[in-house]
Amino acid sequence: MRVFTAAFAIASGLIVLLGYFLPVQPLIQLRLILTDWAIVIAGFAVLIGVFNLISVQMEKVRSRQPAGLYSALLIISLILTFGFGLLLGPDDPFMRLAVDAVIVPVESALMAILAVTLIYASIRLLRRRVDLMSVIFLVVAVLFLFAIMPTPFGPIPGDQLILDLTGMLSRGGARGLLIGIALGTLLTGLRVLFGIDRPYGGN
Amino acid sequence: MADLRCPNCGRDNPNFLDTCQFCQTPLKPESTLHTGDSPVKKDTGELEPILPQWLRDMRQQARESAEEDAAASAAQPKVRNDPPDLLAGLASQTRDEDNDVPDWLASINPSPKIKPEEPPASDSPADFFSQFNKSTPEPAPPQAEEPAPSWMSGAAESPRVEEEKDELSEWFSKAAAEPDEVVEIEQEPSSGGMDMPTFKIKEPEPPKEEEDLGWLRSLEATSHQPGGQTAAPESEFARGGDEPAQPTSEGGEDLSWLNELGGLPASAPAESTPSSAPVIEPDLPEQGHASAAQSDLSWLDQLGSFDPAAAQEPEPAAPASQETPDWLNLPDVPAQKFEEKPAEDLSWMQSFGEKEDVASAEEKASQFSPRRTGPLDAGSAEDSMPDWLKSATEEPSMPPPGALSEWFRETDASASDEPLLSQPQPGAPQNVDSILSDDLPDWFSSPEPGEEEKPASAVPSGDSLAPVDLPAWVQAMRPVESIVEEAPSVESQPTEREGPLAGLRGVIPSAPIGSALRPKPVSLKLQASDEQLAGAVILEQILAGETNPKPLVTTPLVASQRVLRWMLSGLFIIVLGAMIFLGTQSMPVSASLPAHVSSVSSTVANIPPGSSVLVVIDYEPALAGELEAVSGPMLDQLALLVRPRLSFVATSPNSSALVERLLINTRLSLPQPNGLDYKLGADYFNLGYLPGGASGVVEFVESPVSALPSAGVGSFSEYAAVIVLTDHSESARVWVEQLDARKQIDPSLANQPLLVAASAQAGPLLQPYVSSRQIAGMVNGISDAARYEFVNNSRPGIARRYWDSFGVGLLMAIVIITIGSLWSVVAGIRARRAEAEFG
Repeated sequence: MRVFTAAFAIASGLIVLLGYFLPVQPLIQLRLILTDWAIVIAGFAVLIGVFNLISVQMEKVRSRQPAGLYSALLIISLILTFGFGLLLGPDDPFMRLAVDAVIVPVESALMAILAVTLIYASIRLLRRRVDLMSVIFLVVAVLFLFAIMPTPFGPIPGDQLILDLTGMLSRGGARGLLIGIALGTLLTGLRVLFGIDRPYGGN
Repeated sequence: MADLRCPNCGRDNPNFLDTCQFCQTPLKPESTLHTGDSPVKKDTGELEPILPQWLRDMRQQARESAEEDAAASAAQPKVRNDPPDLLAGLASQTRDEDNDVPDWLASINPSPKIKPEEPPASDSPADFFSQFNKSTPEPAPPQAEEPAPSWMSGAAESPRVEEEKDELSEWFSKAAAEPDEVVEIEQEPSSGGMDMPTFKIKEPEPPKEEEDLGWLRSLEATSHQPGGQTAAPESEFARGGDEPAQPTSEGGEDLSWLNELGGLPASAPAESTPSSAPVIEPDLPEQGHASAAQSDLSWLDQLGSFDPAAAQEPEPAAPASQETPDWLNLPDVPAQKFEEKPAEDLSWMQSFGEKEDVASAEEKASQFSPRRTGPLDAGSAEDSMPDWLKSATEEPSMPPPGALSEWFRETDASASDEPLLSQPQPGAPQNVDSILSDDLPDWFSSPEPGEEEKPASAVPSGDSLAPVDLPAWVQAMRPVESIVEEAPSVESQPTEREGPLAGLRGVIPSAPIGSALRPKPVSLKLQASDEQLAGAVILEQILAGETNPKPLVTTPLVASQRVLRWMLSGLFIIVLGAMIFLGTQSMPVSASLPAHVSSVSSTVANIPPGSSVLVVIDYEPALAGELEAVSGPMLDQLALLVRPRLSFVATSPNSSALVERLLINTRLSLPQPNGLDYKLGADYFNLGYLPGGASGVVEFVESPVSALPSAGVGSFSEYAAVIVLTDHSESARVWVEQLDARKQIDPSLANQPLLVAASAQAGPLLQPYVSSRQIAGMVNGISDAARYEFVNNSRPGIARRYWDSFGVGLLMAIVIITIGSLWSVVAGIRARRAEAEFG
């Protein structure tokens, strides 16, 4: 079984990879089929996740845990939204109301809390650790905020310089991250293709 | 052996007992010795088998020694210049150190040497024990008629003494009969090569004194025995043979034998002393010589010198001369000198008898000390006096025998006052060796200087014996047990039921096993004081406090942090809410567009009108406000310029629900004139959620219909442009990579621009793709959107509404971060300094 799963995983990867480099119709069709299976599996993975969420919360309600009420509320909301979504579709005003009145404000509030927390963390940074990197971090953050901050008097002098400087630094850092991600992805793909890493199980 | 039944208790007793061993009732009518009855001699040979082994051994040794001494004295030629008998005994002792006979007995019993023709004293020891068998009392003579003790009176009766072979009396007689020889020896102390060291009066030694005291106590204790057995402990030399025990009165019962020791009546020494004074030599110091003789005999006179009869009669010269023993009669001694010494010897007796006046006692006491009374030259006396004589003439460190006897007498008389010394102590065993030791007790032979004066001066005028305090040296000799614990009285002691001591009480001190010497049990419970208990309680509290968790010190800090957070949140909410509520647009917007924004505007302008544009919704509802504001100017420009059909596809499950919100907020779906009047299904299509991540993107790029059947296009190249609204750089990267890869395979996609509207947080990571032209243009954040909106005639105006609030919020953030950081630096420095100070 372990050999079969490994052979199937390696074969799928090789077929998809060859489908990119070899524009041969059978390989392209085979790659598309495998990709469709992957999408279907990913779609079912979302449903499995939803069902797992329901089962966990149901267990909390059944065991009468202190947070059982919230679990029950979550399950009820999920079932209603799922049902109305299937019946009415995502463009129904009721569904739009559910999104606009519940989901967006809640998540936006969380983002606002994150903003306050970041400011607070910036205040406490030098209290916890006073070193060069902390100072540089705070100075760069303050300068970037200064650069993008609208003022009643218009842009501050040197804002473009600051933006270019920060953009240059950010672009350099981002490219480094993207190159690292690309190398990591390539290496991971090769390890999976050679059977070194078996994330599908079997180690 | 037939038993005798006690008429009182009815119990059987051996027939040799006179009194019942259980109730002390006389078993025989004649066993009671009454006052005035004369003692009757009895055969005590039947008691021989029941004697203790040690007594039999002693008796056997005494017989053997007597025989040996007799044989030795007979073999030796009698030397004329031999020392007196008193010293001859010492000489024999030094010659034969291994002699089994007790030295003290041999030293004071020179009769075998001097008179070997006399029968040996082998029978004499048996006489000591014969008293046990003298159950038939003889009417004792009245005390007035026989003031002298029995042994002394027996000594006076010389024929009887000879018959009974009393060694001591015989020796005393010899000592009195050979005074000249003694003097000669004293002139030549080194004759015979002997220094007579053993006879020297030694300084009192506490251990020996203790033994002597035990011996005395044992003797005294036996005197307490009731009935005819009270005389049992009398020693042979003290009793003078087979003299029966004299019945004693209640008061003087315990001192009877002591009174009989040298128990001459007060008047007896007056006549007997002339015969005891031959020791004076003309060429010797008188006092020294006299003191030497005195030391020889006075102690005998002083022993038990208390005589009730003498105590009642104040005249010391009253006693009859016929009662003086023969061995004390020294006719060749001048009476004048002799009278001084007996007077001196008996002074303490009379003083303790409370009959002598103080003046005569002082005079006699002054004569007692040879040093003080010696008229001769001290230097010549010291030179000519032999060592042993010097020691003999020295003032004794112990009280004179008379004082001791007086102490005993008073102790017995007041048994309740001093029961410890009057009774045998459990911890003071009767050492036989001490009794028969070579050396006489120190206190017995060496009178203590100055002590003879005390009785004279301390004699009360009354007839009664006043209790006095024990002398210091007696107190020092008291056994520890007697001090620590009171000894039981004789009455409380059980009566012996078996053995030779049957019927006696208190002879063998009984004590509960282990009760006297056993260490007292020590309680295991700590005897702690209140202060110690309080300290223990404090210690327990400290130990208990170690195990209790201590509250965190950081609680105030956490509270302050929470307050600070609430303050920051409240501050932002109030200020930004006010700005949004007021809707101020006072802050100007720059008209200069960044390059990547300008690219977006130009790209949008180049999209063919009526074409299909794919809009990828790849952001979460949390960032819907930002992305709507960022993407609003671009979509508004696109809708205004080309009026494309918008196909919305979501790569996030929640994103598909944000399409209508986006179109409404950007006013695309709003009707005219406020909006562009985009209609769902006609102008825009919500394709829904595209699952599969990168695989879904690849699938959708390669075959949109296969990925999303509702796509409405046959190939991906039908989309004139692809607009990605994202807050995640990862999802944007996937679209960039898959489209670029697809463009390399499908040349029809080469002119398909990729525009990105990213949040401020995702923009920096997409800048490389913008720089590489993989992304045709990108609007990054509110800042770019405001400028883009300003260029786009402030449509839709979302960014502009946020602009002032955005500026104030950034300003607040800058101020708070700056001030807060400075405060944190100072507070951190103070905290670290405080930690350094307090360790």
